[in-house]
Amino acid sequence: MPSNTWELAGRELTSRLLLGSGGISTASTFAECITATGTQVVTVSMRRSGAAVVSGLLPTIQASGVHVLPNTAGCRTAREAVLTAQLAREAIQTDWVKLEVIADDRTLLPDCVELLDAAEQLIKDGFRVLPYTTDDLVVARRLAELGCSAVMPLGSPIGTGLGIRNPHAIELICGEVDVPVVLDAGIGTASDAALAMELGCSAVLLATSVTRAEQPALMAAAMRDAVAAGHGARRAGRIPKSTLARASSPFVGMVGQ
Amino acid sequence: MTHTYRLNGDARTWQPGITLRQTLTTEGMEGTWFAVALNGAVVPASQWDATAVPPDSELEIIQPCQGG
Repeated sequence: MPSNTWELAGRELTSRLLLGSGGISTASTFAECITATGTQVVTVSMRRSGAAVVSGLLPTIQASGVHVLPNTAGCRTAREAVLTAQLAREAIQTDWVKLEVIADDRTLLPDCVELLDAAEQLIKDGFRVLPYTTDDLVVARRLAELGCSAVMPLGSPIGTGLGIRNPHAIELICGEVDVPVVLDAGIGTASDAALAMELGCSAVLLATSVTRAEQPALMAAAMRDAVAAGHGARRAGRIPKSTLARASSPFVGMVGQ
Repeated sequence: MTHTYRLNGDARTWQPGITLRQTLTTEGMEGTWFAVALNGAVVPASQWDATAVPPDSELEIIQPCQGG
C-alpha cells in the first residue's frame, strides 16, 4: 500500500481529512468545502423528518460521491445511540457509525460508560464503530479491544476551537492502540490539524473550524494542506527537542582562530 | 372512541387496519434516505407494506441532517 493511503473500517482512503457537515450555511458552500479538502468521508447527523435540513444538502452529498458517515450526535444513553445507529444503517445503507454518547449539553463531553456499552452492542450487531471519545488512553484501549474500527479522541470540546489541550495524551493513544486514531473535535485552525498528524494520528475529523470560518472554502484548503504537512512531518521524523542550543554552523575555521 | 398514534411526538388519528406504508405516504415520505422505528424498533423498508400501525403506537421517522 502506498504510504499516503490508509485503511478505515475496511475502506482504503487517500484523504486523511474527514469533514463534518455540522455548521454549514448552504449546500453549495459545503460542496466547495468537500472539493477543497479532497475529503472522502462526510458526516451527517440523524434527525426527525421535518427538522431543519439545509436545502439541497443530501443531493449535494450524494452527487459528491463521498462515503457518508452517520453519527449519533445528541444521544445521551446507549439505548438512544443504538437505535439511532440502527435507523441510520437503514436510511443510508451503511454499517459505519460515528458513535457519540454525550454527557450534557454544556460540555458535550463523551459519557464513556454509555459509550462502551453502546459500542459493544453495535459491534455485536455488525456495525463498524468509530467512537468519539475522551483523550483517556484506558478508554481508548477498551474501545479498541471491543473491536471498534478506530478511536476518535477529542482535542478539546466540540465547537470550541481550542485545539489539542493535551498533546501528550493524544500521542500516548496513538502509540498504544492498534487501530487508527482520528482526532475528532476541538480543531480551530490549520496548525491544530497539523499538530494532530505530527502526534501520530491517522486522520482528523473537523467541521465547524471550516464551516463557520469567514471563508469556508479557503479554510478547507488550508486544512487539507495542514493535514498533509503534519503527516509528512510525522513520517519524516522530527529532530529531538533540546533545552540547550546545538550549533548548525561549524565551530572550526572561524576568523581569529 | 377515537384512537391515536404519535408520529415524531405529534398525535395523529388512527384508522383501523392502517399500514406503515400508508402512514408514510400520507406524510409525504417517499424515496430513500429515511428510516422508521415503530415502538422503538427499526422496521426495514421491505416490511412497510405488511406492518400494521397499532393504536397508541410511537412512530419515529428519521433522516440525515447536517451535523458532526
